[in-house]
Amino acid sequence: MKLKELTIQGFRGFNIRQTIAVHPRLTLIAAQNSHGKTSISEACEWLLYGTTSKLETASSKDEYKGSYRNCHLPESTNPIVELVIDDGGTVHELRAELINEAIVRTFDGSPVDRWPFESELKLAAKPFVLQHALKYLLMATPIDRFNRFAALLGFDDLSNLQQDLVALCTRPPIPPRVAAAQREVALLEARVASVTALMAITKAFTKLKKSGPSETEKLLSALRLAAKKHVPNGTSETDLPAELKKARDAATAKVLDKPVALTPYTTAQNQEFQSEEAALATALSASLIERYASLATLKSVQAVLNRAQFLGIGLKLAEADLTTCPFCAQPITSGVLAHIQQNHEQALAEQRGQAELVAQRTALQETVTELRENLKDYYERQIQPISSFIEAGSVLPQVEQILSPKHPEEWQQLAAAHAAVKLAHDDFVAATGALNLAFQLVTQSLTDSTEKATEAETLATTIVECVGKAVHLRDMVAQNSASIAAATRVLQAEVEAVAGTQELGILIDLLEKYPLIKKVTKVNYVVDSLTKTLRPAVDGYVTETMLKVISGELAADVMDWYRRIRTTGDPDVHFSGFDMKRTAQGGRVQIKAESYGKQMVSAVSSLSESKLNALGLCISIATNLKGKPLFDFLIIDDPIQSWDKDHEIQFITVIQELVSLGKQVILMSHNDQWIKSVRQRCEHFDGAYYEISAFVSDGPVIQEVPWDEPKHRLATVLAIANDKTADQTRLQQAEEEVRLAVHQLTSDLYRLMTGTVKSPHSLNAESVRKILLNCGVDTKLVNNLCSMFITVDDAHHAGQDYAPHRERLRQYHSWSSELLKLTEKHAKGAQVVSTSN
Amino acid sequence: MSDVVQQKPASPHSSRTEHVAALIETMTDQIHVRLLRAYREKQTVEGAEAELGRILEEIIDEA
Repeated sequence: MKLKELTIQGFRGFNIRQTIAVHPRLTLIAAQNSHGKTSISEACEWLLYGTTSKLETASSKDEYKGSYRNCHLPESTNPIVELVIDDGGTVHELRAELINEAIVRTFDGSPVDRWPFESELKLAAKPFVLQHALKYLLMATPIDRFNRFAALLGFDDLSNLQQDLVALCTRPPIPPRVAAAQREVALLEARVASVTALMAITKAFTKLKKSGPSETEKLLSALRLAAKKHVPNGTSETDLPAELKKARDAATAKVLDKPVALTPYTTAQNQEFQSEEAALATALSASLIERYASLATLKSVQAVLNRAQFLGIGLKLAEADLTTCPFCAQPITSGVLAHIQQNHEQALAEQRGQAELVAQRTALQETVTELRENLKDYYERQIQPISSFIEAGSVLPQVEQILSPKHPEEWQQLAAAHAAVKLAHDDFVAATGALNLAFQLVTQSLTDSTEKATEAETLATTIVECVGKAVHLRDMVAQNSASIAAATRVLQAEVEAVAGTQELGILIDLLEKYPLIKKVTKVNYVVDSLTKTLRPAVDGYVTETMLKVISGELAADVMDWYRRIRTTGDPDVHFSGFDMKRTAQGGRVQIKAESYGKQMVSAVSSLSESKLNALGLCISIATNLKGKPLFDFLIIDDPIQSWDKDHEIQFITVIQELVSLGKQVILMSHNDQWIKSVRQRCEHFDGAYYEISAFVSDGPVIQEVPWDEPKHRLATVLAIANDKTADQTRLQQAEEEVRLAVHQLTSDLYRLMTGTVKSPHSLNAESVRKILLNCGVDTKLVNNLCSMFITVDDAHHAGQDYAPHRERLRQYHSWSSELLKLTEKHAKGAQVVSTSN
Repeated sequence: MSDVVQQKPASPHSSRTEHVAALIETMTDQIHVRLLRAYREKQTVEGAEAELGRILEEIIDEA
């Protein structure tokens, strides 16, 4: 990616909009200090990165607040930077506008949040060689230097990866359930450690920590061995906990009549209750009440049956004597008999219709019975786990005596928790009692066919209340289980201390919780492995990867460039490489220096300002040439500060080499003599040369100065045309030289006649024709001059079948010389005007 | 010719994903591999942290 054109408006030192055409190979900008050179590099940096290294390296960023905006820029105008880039033959336009401290970007005219090459941008070395940034890099502490090297070399992703994974390894988040299990096992372990007789188990725990899950079987063996001392001979391993409990309970019963313990509902139990409650709610709302209410209509069934029966009897009796009523002996007319028959059939039809409702009653009776059974089971499953804890209320006075003298806080907590759980328990029991009554009523009504819709509502309401109490009970158990567990642990220890069963209690807990110990050991092993294995692996990978570059390749590359700047007259006190170390605080980069074969303390303390300056340049150049860089350009801002003449000249060879390597170099310096030397020694690159002659409120006054005098160019061309040994390649190069001379002369003529500068690099055949005709040049000469461009395209590439011709070259030279004379004539005229003024 | 596509070796300028892939190659502990894969997938440390939480809970819930 190379630069073609840079436009700056209202940014830093630039006020009015100015455009600088950038040469594909070498662009030189000479300007005194404070004439806006750095604003040019900053504009590019800001456009690409949204910030500048000057701001980033500032100790106080507040002092730079608002400094991107030029102070003379009218309020209605925003700072804008535009860059035309050439990405492998495809031209793109990047534009950034600063609107109220926010950057608004467009790419090829379309708004974008970030550049399309943003991800590569983060990984690529920054294509800027800036003195202030280099000093910041070198003068930093070794740790900061490492971070800045990492940023300079585009190690951001690697550094972020390391930071993320180290955070994971050093501060692993442990889920609450897992942490609770860890605490439980740690408490058990502490209890074991407090009993000297269990030393073997303490040792087994220690080994477990060192060696991990593979040692858990040994812990179990030690446990069983210790347990067997307290049980009758011949007790099997599976019976060990039961036998130990028997022995323990016998002893502790003498101290406390009943054990006090609460087993909280498990997650699975809670989930099961919740799903049952959800199903119950659906059944209540969708089915039960509606079905029950519909049964109320069933009461009319009996009346229908009775009526049908009565009419049926009447009909049967009437069959004996169709003319007389069997009840009152009154005469029956045929119309009355027909009426009775019709009513009888209608009543029978109604009865048939109601048969479905009768079936529904039977089904509903079954449903209610099933519901009652389910709720009974639901009740028992919730009550059973806590019943022993509720019953332990009877021994609370004993518990108070044992606990309160030494552990008043635990006693208070236990008493309060017991009261809360018992209250919730009693509420649930009472609600269940009311539910039973409601069930009885409904069942009886179904049997007696005396259903009322309100009964179903009462039943549903009672079920809802009962479920609510159950949920509350579970909440109370969950809320108080931790404090109950803590208090009962203390109580158990006290009881066991009095009963002399501490060892038994610990062994029972160890055996019961052995599966949990095994799991926690595995958890601890995984967590430990993060710091023991994963972190060293991550650190090792990152260090090795960075070391390879910083200490290896980069050091060699920097050394290579550094040698080119060294002069033969230099004292042998020099940079000798990088040393990268990793400490607990992070990576460190030490810059090594050498004096006459001996290592010095460090380069930063030992090297002179000019050598550090040279070193900084070499680091920047080397990092920019590493791998396949995103950018093919390098902006070098005032590189020769504090250098002597010899080093300045040496550095020109570095510039030549960079351009030869394909780098597009934009070089700026306050030293115009040195810049002219660069131009002379890099003449063959046909670069662009700008001078900033003044700095005014509009911004820097930038003028393009011809790279090579057209007269000199044309003399060279004629010499080649006359050289009989010149081959096709040289002739073709000479043709290109003529065209460059025409560009330059056209630009000069236009400037002389209009006072407006047009970069010769931006011209093509069409614009040359237009400008020359506008300047009043003879049409025939213009046509001749433009015919010189027919054989090449706008990029000055000749067709494959094109062959240069010596005579034609002489002709080109002749036409160009005419333009030269014309330009010189106008230049003289301008001088005369200028002198007379 | 083999159909196996050789993975590009990670360089300092590789992306985070490529670095994690290279790091996974060096791992022998399957739990660490799971953590790194989660990190690679989510591109954040939270992804790896959540995976670690899952791994630890799986251990506690083991029958």
